[in-house]
Amino acid sequence: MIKSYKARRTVANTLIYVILTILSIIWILPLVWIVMTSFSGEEATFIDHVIPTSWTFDHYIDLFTNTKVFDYPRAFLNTLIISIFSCIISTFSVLMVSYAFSRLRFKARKPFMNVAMILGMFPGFMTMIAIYYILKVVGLSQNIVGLIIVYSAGAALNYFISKGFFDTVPKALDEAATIDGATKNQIFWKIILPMSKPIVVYTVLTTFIAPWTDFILAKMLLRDATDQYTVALVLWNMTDKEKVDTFFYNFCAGAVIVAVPITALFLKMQKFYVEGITGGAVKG
Amino acid sequence: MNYIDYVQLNPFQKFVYKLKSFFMAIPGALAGFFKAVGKAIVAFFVGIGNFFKDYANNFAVGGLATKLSYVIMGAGCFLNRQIIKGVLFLAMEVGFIAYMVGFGGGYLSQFGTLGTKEAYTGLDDFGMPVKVEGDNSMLILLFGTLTLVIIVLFIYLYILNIKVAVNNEKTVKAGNRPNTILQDLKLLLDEKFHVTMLAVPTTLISCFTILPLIFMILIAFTNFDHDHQPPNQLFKWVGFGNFGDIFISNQLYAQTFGKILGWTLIWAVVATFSCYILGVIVALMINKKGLKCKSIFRTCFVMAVAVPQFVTLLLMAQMLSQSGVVNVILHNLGWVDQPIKFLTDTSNPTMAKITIIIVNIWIGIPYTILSTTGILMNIPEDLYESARIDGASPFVQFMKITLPYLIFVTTPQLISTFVGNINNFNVIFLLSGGGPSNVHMYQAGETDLLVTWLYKLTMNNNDNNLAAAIGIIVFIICGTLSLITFNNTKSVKDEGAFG
Amino acid sequence: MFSKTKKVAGVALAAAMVVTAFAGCGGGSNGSSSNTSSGSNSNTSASSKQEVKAITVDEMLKDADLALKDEGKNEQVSLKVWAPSDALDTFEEQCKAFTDNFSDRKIKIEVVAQGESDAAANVMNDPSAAADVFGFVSDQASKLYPGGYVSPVRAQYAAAIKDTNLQGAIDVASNDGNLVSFPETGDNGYFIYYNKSLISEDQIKSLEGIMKACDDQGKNFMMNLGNGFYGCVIPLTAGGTYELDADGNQVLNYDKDKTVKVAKAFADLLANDSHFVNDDTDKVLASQLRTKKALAGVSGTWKLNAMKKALGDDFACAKLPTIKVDGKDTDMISMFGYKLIGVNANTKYPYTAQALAYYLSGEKCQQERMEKLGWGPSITKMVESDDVKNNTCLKAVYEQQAHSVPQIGLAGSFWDPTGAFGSYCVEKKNDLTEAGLGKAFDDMVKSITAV
Repeated sequence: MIKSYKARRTVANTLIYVILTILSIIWILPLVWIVMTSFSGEEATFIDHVIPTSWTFDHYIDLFTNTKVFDYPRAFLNTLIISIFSCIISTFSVLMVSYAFSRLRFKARKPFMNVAMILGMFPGFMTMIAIYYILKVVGLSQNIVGLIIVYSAGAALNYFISKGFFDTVPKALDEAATIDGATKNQIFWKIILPMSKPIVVYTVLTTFIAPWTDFILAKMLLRDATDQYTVALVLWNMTDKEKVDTFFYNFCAGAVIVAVPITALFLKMQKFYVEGITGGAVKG
Repeated sequence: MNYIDYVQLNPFQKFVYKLKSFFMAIPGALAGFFKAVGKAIVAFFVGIGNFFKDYANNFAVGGLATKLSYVIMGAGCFLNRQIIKGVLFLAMEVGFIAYMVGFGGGYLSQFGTLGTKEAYTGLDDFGMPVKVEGDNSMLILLFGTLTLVIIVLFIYLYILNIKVAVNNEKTVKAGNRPNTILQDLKLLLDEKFHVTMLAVPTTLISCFTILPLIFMILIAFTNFDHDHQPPNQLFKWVGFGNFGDIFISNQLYAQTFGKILGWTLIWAVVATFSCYILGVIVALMINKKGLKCKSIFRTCFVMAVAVPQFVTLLLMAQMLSQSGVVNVILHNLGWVDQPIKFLTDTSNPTMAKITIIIVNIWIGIPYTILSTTGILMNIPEDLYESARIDGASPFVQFMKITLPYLIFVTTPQLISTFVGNINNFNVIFLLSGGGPSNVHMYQAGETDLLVTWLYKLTMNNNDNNLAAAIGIIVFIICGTLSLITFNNTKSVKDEGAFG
Repeated sequence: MFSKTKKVAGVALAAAMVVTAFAGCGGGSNGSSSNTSSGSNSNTSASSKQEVKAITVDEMLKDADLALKDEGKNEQVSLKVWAPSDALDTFEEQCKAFTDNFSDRKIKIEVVAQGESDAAANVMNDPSAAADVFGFVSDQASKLYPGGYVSPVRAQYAAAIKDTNLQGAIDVASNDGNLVSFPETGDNGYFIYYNKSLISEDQIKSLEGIMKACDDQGKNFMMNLGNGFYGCVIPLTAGGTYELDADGNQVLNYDKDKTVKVAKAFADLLANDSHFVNDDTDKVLASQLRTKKALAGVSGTWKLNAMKKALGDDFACAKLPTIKVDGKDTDMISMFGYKLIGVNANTKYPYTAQALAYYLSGEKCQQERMEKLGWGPSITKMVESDDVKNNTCLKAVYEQQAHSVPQIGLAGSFWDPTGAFGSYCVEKKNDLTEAGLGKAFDDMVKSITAV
């Protein structure tokens, strides 16, 4: 009996190994392919074999030196600036909103949360035209400053996960601190925030990555201001059907350059990400 | 039926039970919704009634400071030594009047017509065509909306000003001194800490989400389409005309809308559940006890999350194109003779739909793995223990313990994924761009979702009015679904947003 | 532009200009222009139409007061120009040459990369932020002209342009008989790029010859019939034409029987031949030619550099081939587009913008672009010059132009159904009998004209 159970388990485990290995390959292959293609020395873009016959580093060099049509280094710098600032502002904004909704009690709390939820159900693209004109009034359309503001402004609506986290922190902590004479301000900064590392890291991570991956808002707001373009926008333009023939290898190289740091960052911070969403999801 | 009873049902019974309770809940949820709306309306009018009662009453019984602050905002503060607060109130009033006279008033007065003077091109005395500017309906609508929002804010401040004056008077009467600015500031760090915390985010959201949203909702009731484009042409109010066009009167719009709505719902259901169920299965495999190399497997999947989504999608679109690498591989293996048009086959649109769903699974599974791993590990081990003793097979364990537990815990997440999929712009736009084209649809292709149709209507065809109307419809769909499911879900009942 | 006072001042100024303007020039799109001008001196208006004297580009360049009036004398004039990204350098040089010519005026020109094929959408999304002078492909005209997004060409320039440019270019640049944009190129049609070491000059002349060469050597011939721009070859070869009615709806003058016959010829020749590839040629043709997977394909001058690079010494071009319909070699008729330069109707500096657009559309600039970028000219004299005759690519362009229908009078609904019909005709899984093709034809016509 025990033997057959053991045997069955070995069979099951082997099967799982096989399945997981196949799946892992399926998941990793496109990524391997893009890295491989970015080093391809082939002259034609669309070829009838998968593995390039020659290799080169030129596409990376070209990406940073041939900036006439697509100014990748500039776009990279723009995106970095946007993501640093919007990350700082968004993180504070998300944490403040979620903290207020989770641990402070005030009359407008429920209505505010309902409004935030309702707003989340309109398609985001719907408002972009109006946002463009609002920014234009204050002279920030077609400008990365405008992008920073809009990214940061929208971030607070995604408070659910970090609110879920704050909900799990015991209320007794606040009560004890209040008895000791701490103000709510002090409780937030000195007690709750220091013990909320997972959610802080999670928020920083997600808000930092957002500008690297969004292209539609950037496209709507920046329009013909090519010197303000973000990486996502440049890469997207490279795959335009009239350009892809010439720029496909550069696209691959550009995508690898963006993806590598983000992937590294993500893998390193994975633990916090998982804790963030799990903690948030358990409590809703 | 409580949780324990529920867990003991067989999967089919569970499904029936879920389905039944879902549909049973619809009337209740709708009734609850309308009741809540009704209550809110009643409360609103009662509130207004009370306000006017108080408004008159306070004026009648109030002292000089109170009476004065009905006309000059901040008077109630000045006369009670709250200089800074008073200055702020007064500045608001002056600023508001200046805004209305210099800017807002003009736009507001044209709000009803959205402009009457059309721009045209004339000739100057050298025969040079010169543009003569007319009214810009869009700016009138935008700034008119802004002005309305500002008026509402101002009324709020005005009432606050009276309240402060009345309170100050009461405090003085009781022999105390009204709060100094320092005391007020201290309050902001303690009892009123929520004001401090929410002030900036609320302002930003009002400016960049709420105001644009009101503006776009209003556009759904105008004829702001490709024939009425400011600044060269005017547009005007048309009431519910656009909704009429989409649903009934314009056959082409109605047909397109019906097709796209159908596909949007199918897509949302299939995309949500395929990623969820398959993701859970893979997560279970990875987390199986005694399995080695867990972290390697997990890393492989997590990589797919970490690489920015638009990169993977653009990449997939290239790989799956007619001359892309997938077709090259298939051809080299001798499996196909002619390249497969994964995303562009006009005569077989189902191919594109299936392809998109599969790519979406590729993208979605790792997210599910990430978000469920922690929860899976939290499932009490003794549940499995006793199941094993009862001789339950792994499949039965999965169906009877794992899945119900997971769904129980992650329903809110599932709902938001579902809503997210209805609004899933990136996958469709970057993969197929809505294609393959369908000649019987207006400005849309076979795989377009409502949101990508909305995008095409605005960006390619400048039909902003239709786009806005579709946006509202999407909202109604998402809102109804969430309302029903949220109200019907245990895990959100204790801390649900709709309390 | 949001400042109220500025706007009021602008309106007042413009209104004042119109009041003093002479009537009867027909530029106003709206009744009020004639109302306002009725107060002006009627002596000038009566004879003004005949008196318009053509100003050539050289004359314009010599006389700053005539060209620019007061613009740039005191205030800084700054203009934005949209040009395709691969032509930025050339446009920057040409704009610099323009400002150098008026060195006593303060003019600053910024050239920004923006595609010509989506110029209309980019202008319409926010005309006040769009370029003052922008290039666009003629299919955009149906969006730009009726809405008044481009400013009509100054009468004196228009007179000169009409005298010197190809009739087709003038047609696509005109709206209701008025010239509303400046012809930039006369080359936006498609033709064949081929590898002359793989197929002879003789064989490339007929589709039958091309397909035979392909079958013999196991190479591909590519044409993107699934795209309406190319797919319309089938109805056009059958003698079809198109136009817009007064409401902007598409009218198709297609003969069903003839079109089905041509479609059948295409179907018979191509549907069962695996060496005909109906794919996005703009994207993959260059790669296929380079790897010698294809020996020929249909594309246009916009891909010239890529094709030259791909084919090297074997580079060759030809007009579209003939196809046997009813046993008779019939020339394929294509859609022929032009590139145009528009002046934004909302420009703050109409004089400078028009002068710049006129300069850019002039002979010198067209010659430079032909030499540097390979763009074909729209000026008749240049088209007939030896430069064109000796240019492999442009020779094919203008030979094809003789068998083409200009790309004007097209509604947005034209493209997708036409492409779908094109694809239908060459896919073997479809019903390619005359009845089946007839049904596909009816579907196409219905969905183009239904809107």
